[in-house]
Amino acid sequence: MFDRAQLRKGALEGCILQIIARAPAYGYAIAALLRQSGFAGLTEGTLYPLLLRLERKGLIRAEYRASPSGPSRKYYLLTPAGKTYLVQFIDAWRETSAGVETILNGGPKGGTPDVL
Amino acid sequence: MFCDEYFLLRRQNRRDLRALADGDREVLRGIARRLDDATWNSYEAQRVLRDLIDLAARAGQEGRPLTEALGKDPAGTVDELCAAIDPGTPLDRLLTWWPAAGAASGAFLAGVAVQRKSWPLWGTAAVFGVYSLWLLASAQFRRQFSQPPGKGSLSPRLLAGLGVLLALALVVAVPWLVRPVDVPAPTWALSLGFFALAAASWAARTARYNACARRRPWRESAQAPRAR
Repeated sequence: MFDRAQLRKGALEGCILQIIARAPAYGYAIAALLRQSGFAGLTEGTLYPLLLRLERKGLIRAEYRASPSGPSRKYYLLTPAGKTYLVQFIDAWRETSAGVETILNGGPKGGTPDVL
Repeated sequence: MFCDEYFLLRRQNRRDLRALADGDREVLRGIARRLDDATWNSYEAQRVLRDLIDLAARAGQEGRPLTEALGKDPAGTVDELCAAIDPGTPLDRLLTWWPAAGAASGAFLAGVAVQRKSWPLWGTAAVFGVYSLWLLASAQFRRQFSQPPGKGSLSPRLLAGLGVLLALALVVAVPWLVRPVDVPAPTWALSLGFFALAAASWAARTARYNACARRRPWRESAQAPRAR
């Protein structure tokens, strides 16, 4: 059976970095934004291991900031290494998705290559 | 001001755990054991636990248990957490426990010093060495069997476990098999030596975990000052 989780995991890392690149964000807000964007079933709890992994790789860092509505919140910020990684992810994603789209839509124009 | 961030974090976690619902507290205790097996670095384990306590508290405010907040597959989420946490180094584990072990040894020898003027130097050092190896070997042994099922086949894990058991047997047997001549040493001096070891390892642990706290803070005042 097709493993949707594996496909999602790699893409999620890039999406999280992109969200944080726009503005520092906290876990709950990142999870809510991802759910709104179509990652149904994603909770703050399932997101946390991904954030921890990105932090360990040095792509993001956490910072506590005072919250107007209660205790201070843990915000995630992109590091310089994270910015570089995000640019590489976007390039790789566009290239791969374009290739997959082409194949799923019937292959490149010009028909089946001779080698087949 | 000088703070032991690891101590403060652990104390805060204990307090906040007590404030949670019974079910969530039990779940978190189980996760804490798993985290302890996944990393040598006790600060990292406590920091992740801190985030999970916050998560449980928020879920509790919404009337949900922690297991629900951990997604459809809580066990899988915990496996991912264990894989994602910074593994640290074996020295982290020794530094975590040496202050208490050194102080206990120093206190024991201070008690003995009332009765005896001298004490075997080699034997005392060997016991402390065996204790340190026990700390590392037992942690290594536990983590062989705490891996999520399916990750790695049984035979390599079994072989690794047997290897650790053999190492432990050697550690225990060597001081009895090879009996060097014990050098008597002044008991008070030995006691003070262990207290000095406890103080030095506490200072090293504090410096190490405070550096971890600056890099990966657990509270607002633990983080490095923001660049202006």
